[in-house]
Amino acid sequence: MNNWRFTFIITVFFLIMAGVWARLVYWQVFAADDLRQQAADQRLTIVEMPGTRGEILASDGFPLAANRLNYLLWANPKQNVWNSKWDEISRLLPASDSAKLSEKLSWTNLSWVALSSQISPQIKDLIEKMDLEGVGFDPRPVRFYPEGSSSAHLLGFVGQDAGGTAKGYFGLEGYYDRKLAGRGGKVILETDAFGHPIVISGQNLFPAVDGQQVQTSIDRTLQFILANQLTTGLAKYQAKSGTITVMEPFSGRVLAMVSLPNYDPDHYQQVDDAQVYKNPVVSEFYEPGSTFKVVTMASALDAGVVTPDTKCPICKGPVPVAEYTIRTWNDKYFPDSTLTDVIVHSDNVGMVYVSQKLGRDTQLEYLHRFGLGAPTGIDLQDETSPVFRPDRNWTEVDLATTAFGQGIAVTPIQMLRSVAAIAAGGKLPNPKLGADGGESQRVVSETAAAQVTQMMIKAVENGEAKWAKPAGYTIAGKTGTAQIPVAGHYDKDQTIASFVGFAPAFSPQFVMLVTLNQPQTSPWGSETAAPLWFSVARELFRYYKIGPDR
Amino acid sequence: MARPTVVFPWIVVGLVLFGLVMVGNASVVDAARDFGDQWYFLKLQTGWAGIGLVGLWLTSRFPYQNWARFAKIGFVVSGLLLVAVLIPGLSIRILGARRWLDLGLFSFQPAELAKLTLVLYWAKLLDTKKDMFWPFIISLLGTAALVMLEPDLGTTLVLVGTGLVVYFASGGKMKYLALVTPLIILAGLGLILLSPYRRSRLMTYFDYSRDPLGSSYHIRQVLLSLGSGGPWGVGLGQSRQKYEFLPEVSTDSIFAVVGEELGLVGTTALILAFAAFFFWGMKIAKRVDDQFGANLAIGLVGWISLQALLNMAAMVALVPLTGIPLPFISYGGSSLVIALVSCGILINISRQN
Repeated sequence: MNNWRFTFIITVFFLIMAGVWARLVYWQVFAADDLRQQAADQRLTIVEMPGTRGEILASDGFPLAANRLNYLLWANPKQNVWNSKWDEISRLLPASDSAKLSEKLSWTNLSWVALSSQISPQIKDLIEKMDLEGVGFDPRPVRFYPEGSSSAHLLGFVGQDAGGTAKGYFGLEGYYDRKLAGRGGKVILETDAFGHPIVISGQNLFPAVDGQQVQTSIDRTLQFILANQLTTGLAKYQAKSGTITVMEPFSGRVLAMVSLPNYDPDHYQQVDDAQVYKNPVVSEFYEPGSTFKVVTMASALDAGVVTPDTKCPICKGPVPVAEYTIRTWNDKYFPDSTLTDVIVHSDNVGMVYVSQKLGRDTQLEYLHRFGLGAPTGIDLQDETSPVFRPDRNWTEVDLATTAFGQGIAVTPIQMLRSVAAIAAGGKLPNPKLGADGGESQRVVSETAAAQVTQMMIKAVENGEAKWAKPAGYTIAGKTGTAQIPVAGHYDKDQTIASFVGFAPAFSPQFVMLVTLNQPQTSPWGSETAAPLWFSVARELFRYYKIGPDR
Repeated sequence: MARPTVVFPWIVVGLVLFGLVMVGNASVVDAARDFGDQWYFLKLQTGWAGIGLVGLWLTSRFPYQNWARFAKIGFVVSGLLLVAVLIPGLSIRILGARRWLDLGLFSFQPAELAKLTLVLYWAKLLDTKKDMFWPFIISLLGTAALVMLEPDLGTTLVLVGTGLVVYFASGGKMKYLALVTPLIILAGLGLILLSPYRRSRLMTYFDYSRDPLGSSYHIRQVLLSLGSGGPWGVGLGQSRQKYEFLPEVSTDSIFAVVGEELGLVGTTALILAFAAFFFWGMKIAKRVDDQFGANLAIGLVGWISLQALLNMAAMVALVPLTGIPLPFISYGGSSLVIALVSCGILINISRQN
């Protein structure tokens, strides 16, 4: 045989073989990672298993937010035609779902359509008994709120984030989301090209970790009382909106917090304006008006620049401050009033005097001490706080009007907390619902707190709303009426009326703030918020079995 | 150096045993699904291997010179069978191709037999100093046309390639080869471009992810298997791609399962085994004194090696997929038996020289 032809055949053959091998090295070494990933992608199915969300409990252990297992009902239109059984099913479904039922079943080019996502376990049992083919249920854990909308602003709700996983928004659900949510688990399944599990592969199970529960200080009964009272109050005084918050002054534990209008957390999507999700108690800014005078007064007494009996030398008439003139609310003047009288009369000019005695630096220092201009740290996700201008930018007029609660913005929870400090002997509590507030910080002396308390008691005794006060109880309180700033000026008739106070005054069990937005029957706090406050207080005395203290 | 007579049979036996392991392993999913017995295909293939090895033993004892007498009749018979397979009623149509004759008890691929009978015919035809180009090319193109009608491009390529190798090795005239080789390549390209099915196969050859659920599905799954195996493999029996992802998992694509389970190490070993087969086979051919024996040896080594190379080259996307089995390894009775009988003849040639 011809030798060169022989060698030629062998050479060509081995060259091709080397080419095949080189190509093999490329696929099995250099491209391997990418190909392995693609192969894994086509056979791995990841089934997510969310952990059970923790419950939010009221002070008595009853759930304020709980979980319920709902089901998604689906059908395969290829296996189903309309028959009498479907008539029956259509009666069991929510109206919005049953309306589309027959149409969805006619989509015979599909093999999966969702019919209703609101199937309770009972309805599921009923449908299962009908023994239909091509029908199935997927579990859908849903959050529900046994207390309904009265606690909506406290609790927030559970929605879905961009990735479709459950996530708490607003309130306690938002604040404690990580604690409540736990950690999701998953099962990684290996399946063949038709989606059947591959037998030889081990199961990769990463179990879910359930969320923890959150125990709150919220009293359901109180919550119910407040909701009823506020509903009645809004109707009675024809106010647009309002809030009532009740807190333990020493511990800062929030006992109840209601604001209206609210929404139904079980159907949180059905709101006209997403603004309603925000809890006004912790997120709405308002000018506190005269209620703020007690904070200024406590500061001045603590600083030792005045006493309750100090006579106001400038109270005989309107007082000029820079280019403005400050007047009292009714343009009546009481020359040589004591500072107690200043609070009782709610005398703006008297407060200007207190501010002047305090001096710029000290007045600002006390504002910061009371935690104003910064969030209180309450465990509600939606808390925000007005931000104060830098200290050096406060003008003489700013300081003078701040003394009587105008030109300064606070949230209701900030206002309530400041007054709680007076109730608690000068220690500023940290408001909390689902946690311990920790050590309170002393902001004013016990003496100063006691002196302001006395003034507030007198203010209630001699105030215009004294007729509404529950008899036999010592109550420390202060009304406030703040005009709402509209486009650079104040609207005389549109006000936020409020009343803040605590009782029994000498061993306070609760501190409470009522705010009413734009009451129409009267713009004054004394004629709207105050009687409402007293009405609630009366029920609180009964509920907590607090006897008359005099 | 060891003598081919000693080494060569062991290479063949080794390949057959490895093939049985891989067939049993690759076919478990399909076998369990279709027959409820995961070893169904392994049992059948073991039977065929037994028949094939008996055939190998017999042909290794049968003096190869005697085969010359069967050259013409074998050529005529396989030609008739290749015509018969095109007639509906006699043949089984699978996936659009008529490749199997239904013999009741089992089915049989005439094209497999044709590989052996054509090599025999050409060995005899070219056993002369005369120029036999025209009879050679007519027998080659005639058979190729019949196989192309089934259609079976892969086998056609193996037949044509083997023919050219035998003609070349037997001292065929270079001017004819220089003329006919480009013509055959052009004809092949024409056939590919004329058929939409082959054209899309060709397109996926250029871009394997072009149509991952359609025409490039097969090659993509093959490459995913090879890549999944990586250098070291996922372990014998651990292939995931055999779970309905790989088409033709125990036949045309079995090399991919080897790649996935045994990695580059395994595929390299398999390529080396075929290289050894080719090398020792060519050594046998070189030692033959008579022209007929040399032609026969070259043709037999040639068709098996060429087919192995074509299968593996397609598996690594070096050439488009044509759909031919990997000799000794892929599941399939006709293919295995004919390959083993071919080896038996080679062993006989080796023993006599």
